[in-house]
Amino acid sequence: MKQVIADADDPLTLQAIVTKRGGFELRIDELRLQAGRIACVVGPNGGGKTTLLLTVLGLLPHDGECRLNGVVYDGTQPFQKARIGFIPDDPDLLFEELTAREQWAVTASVLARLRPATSRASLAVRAAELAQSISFDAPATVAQTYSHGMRKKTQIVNALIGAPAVLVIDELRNGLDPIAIKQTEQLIAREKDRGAAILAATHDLWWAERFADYIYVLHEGRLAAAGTRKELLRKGEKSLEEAFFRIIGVKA
Amino acid sequence: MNLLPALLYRLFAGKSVRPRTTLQLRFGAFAGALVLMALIAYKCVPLRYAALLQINFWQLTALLCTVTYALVTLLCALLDGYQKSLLSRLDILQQLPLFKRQLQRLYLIAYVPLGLVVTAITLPALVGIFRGCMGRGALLAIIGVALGLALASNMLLRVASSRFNTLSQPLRLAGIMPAAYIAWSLQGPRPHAGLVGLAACFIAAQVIFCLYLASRPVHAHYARGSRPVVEYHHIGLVRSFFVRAIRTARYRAANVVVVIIFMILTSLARYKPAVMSFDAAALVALLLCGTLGQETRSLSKPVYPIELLEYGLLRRWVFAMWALVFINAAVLTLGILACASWLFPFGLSVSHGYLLCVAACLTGVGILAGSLTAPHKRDMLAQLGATGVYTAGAWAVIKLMAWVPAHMLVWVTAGVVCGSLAIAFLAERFRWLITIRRFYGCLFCAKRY
Repeated sequence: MKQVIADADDPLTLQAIVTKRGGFELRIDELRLQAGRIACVVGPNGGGKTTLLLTVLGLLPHDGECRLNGVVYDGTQPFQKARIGFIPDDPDLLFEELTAREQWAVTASVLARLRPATSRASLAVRAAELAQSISFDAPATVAQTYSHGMRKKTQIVNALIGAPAVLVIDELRNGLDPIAIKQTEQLIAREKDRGAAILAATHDLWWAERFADYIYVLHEGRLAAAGTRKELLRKGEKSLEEAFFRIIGVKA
Repeated sequence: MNLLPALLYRLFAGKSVRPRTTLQLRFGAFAGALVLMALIAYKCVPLRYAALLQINFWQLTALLCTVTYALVTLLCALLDGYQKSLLSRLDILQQLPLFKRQLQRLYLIAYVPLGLVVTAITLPALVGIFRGCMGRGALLAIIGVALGLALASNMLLRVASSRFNTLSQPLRLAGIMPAAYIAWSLQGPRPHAGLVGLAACFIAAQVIFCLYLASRPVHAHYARGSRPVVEYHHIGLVRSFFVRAIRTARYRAANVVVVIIFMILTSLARYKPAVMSFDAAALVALLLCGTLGQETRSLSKPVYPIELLEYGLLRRWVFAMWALVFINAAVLTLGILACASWLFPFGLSVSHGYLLCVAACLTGVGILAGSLTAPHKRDMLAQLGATGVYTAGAWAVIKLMAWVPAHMLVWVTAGVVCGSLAIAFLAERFRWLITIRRFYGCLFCAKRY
C-alpha cells in the first residue's frame, strides 16, 4: 500500500522495506512520516509493530531504503541516529547502576559530542525542564531501585533531551499513572508542535483514535490500511475499533 | 512435560551446534582425564616422555593434568552457557518454579561427576607444580595451570551471575568434596601444605559467592528506600562505565575475594617459602584478577546495550569497555608488584615481569574462552579486544619498570590509584562524607543542574 503525502524532505521515509526476523517478514512498500504529525501503528500481536520500530531505529538489517531528512540512513551513522529519540516499552533499557540524572547526563554528553553547536549545559537544562513537566523528581538513587513508572519517565526524558526530529514511541502509556499519562501526552503534543515527526506503536485503539493524525494498521507484516481516522472509517462505523476489526478480517 | 529428558536429549542429540560441541568436548575431556589417570598410575610411561622434554615426572604430570583441567573447565563453561540460555527462556515464560525438581536432578547429574573429575586432576597438578617449580617444565606447567585457572575463575563469576546458581554452587561443592578426599589420599601420607591453602582459598571463594548470592534479594529491582549515591552530573559514556563498575556489587565482591586470596597466598609465600613460591602466588592472584576483566561484560547487556540502541556508538562503547579492562590489568598488576616489593625488599627481577605478562596474556585468553558461550557477536569481538588490551595493561606496567625504579613506581602509582579508589568507595558508601564527596565531585567537574 502506498502513502502519497510526500514531501522531499520528510523527516523519515521508508521505501520497499523488507525486514526478516526469525520466520517473520515485514514488508513495507512506502511509509512517510511528516514533521509535526503523530502517526500511530496499530495491529494485532505479531503483526509487525515492534519489527517496524526496530527497523526505523536501524536495529534490524533490512532491504530497501530508509531516509532520514532525505539522507539514506542504515542505522550505523551516529550523527544521524542522534536525530531519533526512542521511548521503549522495555523498562530494563536503562543503565541500572546510574541515577536518572546521570543517565540524562550521559545522553547529553553523547549528543553534545555529536552536535558541536549544542552545549552540554543547555541539554542538561532541557532535561531538568522535561523532568519537571512530567512531575518527575529524579531521586539520587540508582535505577535498580526505580519502579516501572519511574523507569518510564527516565526513558521519556532521555529520549527527548536532544529535541529529536523523529520520535519513536513503543506503548507510551504502559507503566504510567493517569496523571503521568496526561502530562506525557501534553509533552508529546508540545514535541509535535515543535515539528517532530512522531511514530507510536500501540495496542490501544482508543488512544490511537484520539491522539493520532495518521494511523497505520499492520497485519501479518503488511500495511493493511493507512489513513486518517476519517479515511479509515466506513459508512456506519463509529469508532476505529470497528474499522480495525473489519480491516484485519475478524468479527468483533 | 518433563524437562530433564528434554534437556538430556537436546544435550546429547540436539540439532544446534552448541550441544554437539559440548558433547564432543565432554567425551574428549573425560577420555583425557582417564588417560591421564592411567599415566599417573604407571610412572614409567610419563617418565619416558619427561626425559624427552627434559622435565621431571611431576612437571609432566602437572602439565598434562592442567591441560585436561582446562578442557574440562571449558566443557563446564559450555554446559553452563547452554543451561543458562535455556533457563532464561524458562524464566521469561514464568515456568521456572514448575521445573525446580528436575533442575536439581540435572545439576546433580551434570556437576557431581564433573566436580569429581576436575578436582581429582587439579589437585595432583598443583602438587606437581609446587613441589618442583624450576626451568622450562615449570613454565609449561604454569601455563597449563594458568589457562585452567583463568577458565575456572571465569566460570566461577559467570555462573555466579545467574540467580539460579544459588542452587548449583552448593551442589558443585558437594561434588568437589568427596573427590578432594580421594585425590588427597592418592598423594601419600602427608598432604602438601600449599595445596591445603590453595584449595581452602578456592573453596572459601565459592562459599563467599554462595553466601553473597543467597543474601541478595531476588526482587532487588523493586526495593524501596535504598541509600542515595553520589551523582555525577557531568559524566560521559566512558566515565559512566567506571562509575557503573564501582557501583556494581559483583565487581566489588570480586575485588574483595581477590584481595583476600592474594593476602593468604602471599603470606604463605612469605612465611613458608618452601611451600609456595612468590611466583606461584602472584600468578594465581593475577589470574583471579581476570575475573574483574570478565566483570566488564556484565556492564553491557549482550542483548542490546542502550548506548548502541540509541546512538550506535559501537566504537565508543568498545573503547570504554576496553579502557576499563586496561585499568583493571594495570592497577592490579601494580597492586601485585607493590605487595611483591614489600615482601621482597631486594627488588623484582625481569623474569618476574615476563612471568606476569605471560599470566596476563593467559588471563585474557581465559576471558576469551569464557566468552565462547556469549550469545552476541559484539560481545565476542569485545572479548577478543579485551584479551589484547589486558595483556597491554600488564605489559605497560612492566615496561615502565625498566625506566623507573620498580619500588618507586609501584608505590607512588598504587598509592594514588588506591587512594582515589578508596575515596570513591567511601564517598559512595557514606553520604555524610560530604567534604570528600564534594572534593571528589570537583575532580570530575560535577555540578548540579
